[in-house]
Amino acid sequence: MLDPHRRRDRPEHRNFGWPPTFQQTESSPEPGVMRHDWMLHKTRDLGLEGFYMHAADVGDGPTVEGFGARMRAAGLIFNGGLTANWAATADEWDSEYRERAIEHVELNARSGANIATVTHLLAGVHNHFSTDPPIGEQVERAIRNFSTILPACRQHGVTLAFENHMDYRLSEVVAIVQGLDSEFARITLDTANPFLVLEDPLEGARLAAPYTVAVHLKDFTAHPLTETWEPELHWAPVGRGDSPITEILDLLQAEAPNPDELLAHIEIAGLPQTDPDRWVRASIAHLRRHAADHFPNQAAA
Amino acid sequence: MRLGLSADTYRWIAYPWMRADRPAFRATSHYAPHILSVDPPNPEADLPDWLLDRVRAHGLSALTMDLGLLKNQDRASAFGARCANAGVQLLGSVSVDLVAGPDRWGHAASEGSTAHFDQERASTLQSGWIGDCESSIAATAIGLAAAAGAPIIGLVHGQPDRPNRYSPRPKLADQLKRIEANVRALLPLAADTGVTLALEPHMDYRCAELVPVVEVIASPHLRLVLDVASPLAVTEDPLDAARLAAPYVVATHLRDVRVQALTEIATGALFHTPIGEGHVRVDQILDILHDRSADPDGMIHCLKIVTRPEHDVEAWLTASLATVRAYASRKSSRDAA
Repeated sequence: MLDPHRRRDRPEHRNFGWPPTFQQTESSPEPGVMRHDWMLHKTRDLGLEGFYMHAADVGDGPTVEGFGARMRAAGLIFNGGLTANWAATADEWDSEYRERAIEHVELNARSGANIATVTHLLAGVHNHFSTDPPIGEQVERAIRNFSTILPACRQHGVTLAFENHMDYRLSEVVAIVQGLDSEFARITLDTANPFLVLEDPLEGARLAAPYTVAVHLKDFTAHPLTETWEPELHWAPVGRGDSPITEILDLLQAEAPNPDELLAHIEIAGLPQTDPDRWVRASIAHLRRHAADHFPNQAAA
Repeated sequence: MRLGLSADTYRWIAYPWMRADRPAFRATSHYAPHILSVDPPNPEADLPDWLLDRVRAHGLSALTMDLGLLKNQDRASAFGARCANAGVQLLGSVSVDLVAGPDRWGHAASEGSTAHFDQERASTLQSGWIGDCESSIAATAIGLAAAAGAPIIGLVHGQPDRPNRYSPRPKLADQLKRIEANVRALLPLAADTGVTLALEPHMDYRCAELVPVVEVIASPHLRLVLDVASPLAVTEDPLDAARLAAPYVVATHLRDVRVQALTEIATGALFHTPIGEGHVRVDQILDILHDRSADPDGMIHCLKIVTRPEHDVEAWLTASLATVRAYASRKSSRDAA
């Protein structure tokens, strides 16, 4: 609905073979309406407390500052973010990624975000399954690379929260954070992505919990046996899949460094032809009913 | 290393209920395998004999197949003799609901049992085995294994109408208790017939879940068949699974799968591949099994080259076999050095 290169109302969307979309409860933003502003209003409309977006996707410095001010005025928390090639060689990092990463740390700071979720830009090239370089060296490279921007994080008061993002296991993200050994290096825990790298989501969460400052509440149904014998994972509204989300929330409440300040975001994308608004509302309803203890501010909603 | 073939390799071109040249195949929405390097069996031909021919054509020495294809004890005995004459070790399998409650499980007794394999009832994911209770199906299959001279029979549970580790009911711990109780009830018959039962994690449970069942039963007549790619279906690392299972593995199914974690709709995807082209480290798994198995030289490794229907399965099998033989050759060189 929102991403310019993914919007279902682009004429070329049909060329990719996706089924058409019908009976939607929400329309994509009109031309001229900025994504982050649409999200701000949607977040308020849903009675949520904040949302996650990379600061660079909001815009330049002045735009980010203005947006941050509107977020604060609305009583909402902005979880910023940035992306970089975690497994770049030292030369690649220093020449292509370092300066931009520092700029994005500053940009996140100007928005007022003090947590920046960090995703891996080249997940399709370097990941848990790729062997050049081996995973151990990828972890070492990430530690080396991000250590070069931690001073900027400290200067701007922005904590990097590395996400397991369809690329690495939480056990590997934990190794990176432990290697960085800084209060400005923490974790964004995605509750369903461990499935994609053959990691038990609850076991991964046990390792990551002591470092987790943000969580993406995502759910998949697991389909181990299919007609072709190629297992599948399907999107599901939160609570309707096989990710142990309630157990993970209990774990984070007990072991996260600051559970009451932990930023939790519903992150369900679904197939393009499904109705994201109904999925989000169903997910919210599930959490308000089955995880109310973890979201005291949602009680009134 | 003894290498064999799993009949499932040819399932899209050989199993009567799955063949892509059936008119009904067009209703599946799958693409057909238009280019094949081997002719499918004549529908009137005897399928086990065709499979045996494929085993010999590839220079293999074992065949694993659902014993229901042998239909009755006389045919099982005759086919077993043909395998023996060809120097081919037959391994059996049977699909049985291991999580069945006491009523559906019943009491094992092959004599007088009406349990049998009806290929008209079989479908892509549904076994053709039918019977008044699950234990009689298992007992009938054990009887067929004994008649055919198959020393091992794999117990395959995974089927869409049966619970698995993701099913909310019964709870996973209760499912495993039922598996333990049901398998335990088959052990006297296994001992009497000299057939080893082998649980096969089959896109339903993790090795970490079935190994404790084998350990708690602690019978020499209960072992494991390890399908090296099945752990991927239940979020288990194949190498971790092999390490856990190794002491109890008597046979393997070798295949490979590529894991594409990042996809356009962010749900990842898993695709079959020829061995060596995917993310299952078959070479390392074979080393683990060799090092940790009680009887590595007696272990039988059967290639189960699963494809989507549109692929040339014979080409995949030939390439996979070359890869596995190269692994074996490298290991021999290492050991000699």
